[in-house]
Amino acid sequence: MSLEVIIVDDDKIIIYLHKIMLAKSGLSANPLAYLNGKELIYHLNHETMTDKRYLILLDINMPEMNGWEFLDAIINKPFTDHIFVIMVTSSIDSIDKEKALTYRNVIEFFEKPIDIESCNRMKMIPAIARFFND
Amino acid sequence: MTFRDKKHQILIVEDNPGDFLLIEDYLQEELASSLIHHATTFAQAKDILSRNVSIDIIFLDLSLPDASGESLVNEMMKLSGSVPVVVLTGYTDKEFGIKTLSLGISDYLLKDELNASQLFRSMTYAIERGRIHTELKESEENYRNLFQSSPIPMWVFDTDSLAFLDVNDSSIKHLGYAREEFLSMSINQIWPEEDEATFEALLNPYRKNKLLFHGVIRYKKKNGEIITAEIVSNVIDFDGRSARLTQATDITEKLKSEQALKISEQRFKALVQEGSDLIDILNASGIYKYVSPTSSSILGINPGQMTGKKIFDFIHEEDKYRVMDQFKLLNTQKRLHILPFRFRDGENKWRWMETIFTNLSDDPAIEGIVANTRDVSESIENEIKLKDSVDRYNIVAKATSDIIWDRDFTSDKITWNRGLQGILGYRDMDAVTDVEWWYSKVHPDDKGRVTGIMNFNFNKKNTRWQDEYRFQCADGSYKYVFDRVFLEIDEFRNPVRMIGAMQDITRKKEEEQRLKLLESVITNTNDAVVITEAESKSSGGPKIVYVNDAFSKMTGYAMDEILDKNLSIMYGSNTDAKELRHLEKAMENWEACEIEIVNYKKNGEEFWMNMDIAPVSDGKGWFSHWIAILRDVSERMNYIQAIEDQNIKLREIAWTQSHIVRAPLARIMGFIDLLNEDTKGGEMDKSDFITHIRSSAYELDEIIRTIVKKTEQVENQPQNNESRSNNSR
Repeated sequence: MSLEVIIVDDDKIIIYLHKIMLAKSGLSANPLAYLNGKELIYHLNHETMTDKRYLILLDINMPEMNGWEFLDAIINKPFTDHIFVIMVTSSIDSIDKEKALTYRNVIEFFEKPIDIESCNRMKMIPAIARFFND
Repeated sequence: MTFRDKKHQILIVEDNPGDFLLIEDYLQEELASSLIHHATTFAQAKDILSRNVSIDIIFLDLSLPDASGESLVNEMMKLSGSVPVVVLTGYTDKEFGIKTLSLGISDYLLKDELNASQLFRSMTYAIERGRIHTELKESEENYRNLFQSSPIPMWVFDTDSLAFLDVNDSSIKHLGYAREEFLSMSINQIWPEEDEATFEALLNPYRKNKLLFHGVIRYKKKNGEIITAEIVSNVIDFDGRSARLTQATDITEKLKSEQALKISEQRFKALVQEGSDLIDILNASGIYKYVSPTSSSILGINPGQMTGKKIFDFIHEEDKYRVMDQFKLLNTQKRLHILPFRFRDGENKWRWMETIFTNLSDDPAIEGIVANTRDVSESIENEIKLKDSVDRYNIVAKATSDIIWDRDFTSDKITWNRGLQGILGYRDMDAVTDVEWWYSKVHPDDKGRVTGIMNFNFNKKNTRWQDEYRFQCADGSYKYVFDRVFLEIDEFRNPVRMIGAMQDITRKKEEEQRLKLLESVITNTNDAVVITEAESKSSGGPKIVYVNDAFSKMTGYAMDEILDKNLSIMYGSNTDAKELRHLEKAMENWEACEIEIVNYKKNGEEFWMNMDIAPVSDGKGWFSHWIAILRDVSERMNYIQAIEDQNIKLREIAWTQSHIVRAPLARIMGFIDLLNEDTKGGEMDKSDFITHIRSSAYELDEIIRTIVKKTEQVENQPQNNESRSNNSR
């Protein structure tokens, strides 16, 4: 069983930055990246491998489909149980954090920017730790 | 039918045909319709008599072939029974003829002297006598039966020996002695021992005379019980002895009930005739049917003068209709107590009477309404006197704190009590002044009215009135006085004195004015004021008893439209039910309360109202009213609403901005982290990083400038918002 890491952020510089961090930390050598939730849904709808799991680093503020709308959209999808979401947002509003944790798919909440340290902490989140135990 | 017309059956016993023809001839001459039977021998006669029971008379010849003389007569008498027998004889022996009479025959006739008329007369007498004899015998029998079977004990006693000669069945049953016992006793044996001497004396004269005895005696039964009986005893001839037939009616029970009746009658008489109550019987329209004799002693009116008159005609005009109304209730009520009313007595004076009516129309002994009336004048007058004396006492008691003036009309001077010095302050003045002085001290503004009232009452000879005016004190100030005036009038209706009791009511007046001032504050304030009753009688709250002008201006409801209604008239669909419950609860606990709710004006317009409501207690500490101060707070509420709206907007802005601001900042922080990492590795292009950091820093700077500019605009917005929301309503 493999874990695919996907970055969703409308800020290309952030994607660039986060890719470096993920690679450096060993969380994911080459993560996928999407500029909004809509594109990711499209991608997920076309995935066929049933034993694949996804770790999505999800921003909130995005055009087309923001982070909340994405979370609402996947609730009833057949792949919903295969998705782990870590909110990664520039928001420092505690209300956003509380809201995020009410979604079943959300396993953690990180403030931007993420650094090596953040990535190492992600690896230790119980829901996904098994994918990094080698 | 006469004797002659009747068809008699006649038996002629005669063996001599010549004699027979002669007798037959004579009889047919007088009694043509008679049926004549003929026997020539005694045996033949016997035969006829045994077959024919309708024979009215027998003519008997004394010398028959088979019998004659005395033996014949005797034989015939045995046969004839009650049928009369007339002997026909040829004997001229009168001695024998007379002798046959003693044997029982009716008559005897000598054949030689016989003629038709004599025969007829003899026959007539014989038949009539026979009939009378039979009737007598029958009546004797009847009387005997009457005696024996009478339910009343009867006996016959010998007036000499007093022995019982006969007793009837009822005596036997009643007294308990057997007939044989009775017949061996005498009447004094049934007398109680203690009565014997008395009865002996009573009876003695009647043993000789033949008068009817009528009296009451006691006698003793065989079982010893004593009975009282009413005795009727008359003299009879009993088998040739002088006797008395006595009838004894047991009146023991009758006496007992008579005695009881007598006692109850006496009691009733005592109540009705000698009591202090007037007891009358009225018919349904109030007319006296019976008036007890006590009317003379109580009212001085003879019962006869009242009977037939209407009760209401005796009652005072002012009380009459009350009594009449109550009297009518007797149709449905059995008993009614009429409170004291005035009743005209025999001297045309009014008496206070109190009555209890009892409807006994159904009672056949009464058939009317019983009025039990008592004179209560004394207690009523005492009550009135007491009230008068209490009044007088009150006045006197007040007098100590009042200023009393006493005007004598003969001298026309006024005498004052110490109130003149003490209350009015005229310390060095004489206690007697003239009338002008009093007049000069009445406030100029009151003078006209005070003298007007005084003259009016004086002319009308009213003995009491009261007035309020200002009276000047020694220091020149005025006191408000409440003056109660009494006018004393002599028997010629001329005023003698006028006494006034002036009470200092200055403080009361000041209080009144202070209240008036307070009232004017309420009336004139810009806050709406509502006063309600204390208790809620409907679910909408207590009744409104007052609203001021400001209320009418605020809500559009005039005072007369809202009086007797309650505040719920102003509630509507946007009125907060939670706030109303809060108010209700506070009012239940008699607590003051402040609420803010949406209310509706008379024209339907919605407005925000602040209501401050508090209970008002009276002098004794009881809550008597609620007072509510109402303010239209729509402006303030709208302002607050606008601020709240703006706060939400500001929050939205702040949220958005935190995202926008943090985006470039996060990038810068990220690159700094990378640079930091890079010092360890050193394989990345630092110039790229620097470019990104710079562009992000410029972006951040631009964003902050934009925010500052926007915030400057927002500061001025509440004012704008408010005017906008007002326009929208």
